[in-house]
Amino acid sequence: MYEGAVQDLIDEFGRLPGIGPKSAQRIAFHVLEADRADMDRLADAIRAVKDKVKFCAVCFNVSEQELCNICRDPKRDETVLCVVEESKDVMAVERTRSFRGRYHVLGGSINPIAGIGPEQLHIRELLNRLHDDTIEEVIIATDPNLEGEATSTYLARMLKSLGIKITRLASGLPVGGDLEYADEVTLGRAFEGRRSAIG
Amino acid sequence: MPRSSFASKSYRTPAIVLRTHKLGEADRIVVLLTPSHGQVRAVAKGVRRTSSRLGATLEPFMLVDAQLSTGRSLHVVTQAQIRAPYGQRLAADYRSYTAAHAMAETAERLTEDDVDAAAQYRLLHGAFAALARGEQDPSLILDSFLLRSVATAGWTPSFSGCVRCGAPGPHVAVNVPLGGVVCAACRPAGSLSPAPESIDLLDALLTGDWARAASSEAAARREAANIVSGYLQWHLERVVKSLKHVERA
Ligand SMILES: [Zn+2]
Ligand SMILES: [Zn+2]
Repeated sequence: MYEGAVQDLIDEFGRLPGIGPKSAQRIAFHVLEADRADMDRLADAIRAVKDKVKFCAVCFNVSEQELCNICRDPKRDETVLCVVEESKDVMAVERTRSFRGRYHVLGGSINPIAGIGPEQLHIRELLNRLHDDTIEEVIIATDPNLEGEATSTYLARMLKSLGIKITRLASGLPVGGDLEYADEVTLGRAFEGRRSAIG
Repeated sequence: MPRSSFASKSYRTPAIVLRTHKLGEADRIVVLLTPSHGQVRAVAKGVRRTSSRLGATLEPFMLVDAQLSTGRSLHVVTQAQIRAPYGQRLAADYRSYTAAHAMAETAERLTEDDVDAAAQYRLLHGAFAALARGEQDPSLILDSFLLRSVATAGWTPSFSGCVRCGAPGPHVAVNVPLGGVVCAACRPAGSLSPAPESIDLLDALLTGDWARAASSEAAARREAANIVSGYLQWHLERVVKSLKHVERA
């Protein structure tokens, strides 16, 4: 154990995802030895992101305003909605340039053992968005892993009765992987070849 | 690093993937249940990347043959092949998927300490196989699994003879902390009086009498499920998080 402030910093880093006790200690000592100006910039960036960045009131993508860039853009096709797990998946799909519709960010996937059921995700808000007749197709682009598949199963079953076209990205994506690691070409192809999610 | 003082050993084992966590950029921690090494926590490196073939193998609820090497705290999965792709089938049916979560979480909790993991492994394997076959109501498979896994851990309930004096049933009262039915003479305050059909269903689930369990009505299934969940939570002390997300008919 180190004294007060140093140990506090190690503890804080240790709570970040993917950082074990050794890495936490290494990063804390890096901060200690680094230039004052560099570390002030880091602290400012963290404060700014917490102050300024919120989640879009409509799609839950990260946004600095009430509505995100994509929801505000009148050139986006408002009849097609792509459902993803996280904001970084929006970025992954945007990189493919295969999709011109809008998004809905669920905030994760259904994973009961981790305490996450449908109520913990933005699924009710998704249903609310589908109440008028604007949206004609929902593309489910959850991760190609087990939790993503199960979330897709749940959504497809729930949306079936609405009479909207429900599609799922085509296979070819790496099973067990994260959507964000799929390269643009593969992900683009998965969009082109999407198939009905209602069996 | 005093690496030389630690000799890593390699071993091969069948395993059921209980759960996975993301680790760092592209790795996962997988929690495995094995028949002879008990519960194993291992790192699977790079499995979230597109190039990984291990990723699809080490998904939750898969039955695999794994090659592992020992480590100080976490082991490392070096190879794995699928024996039965239960995960895929369970993800395609939402009720089975949520039931499988509750089973995996219970099995994880009951094998935290050194216990007879082989018996828990066999029970879970049987339950996942039954869910994947899709011939029974997933809720019945779940409740039967929960009762039998708690029994295997040493807390065997009874839904025929009185749990206190052994007087042969049928009895009409159930006492959750005592673990089953109690006769009129033994009945402590706070015992429940469920419908006789619910008690009969509990007995069928515990003894694996599927014909009798399948003939039960929805009301009995609901009441039995509440008693099973009460019994499970009583012995595990902490809440089984997945249970409240289980979708029942
Ligand atoms: Zn938005
Ligand atoms: Zn008695």
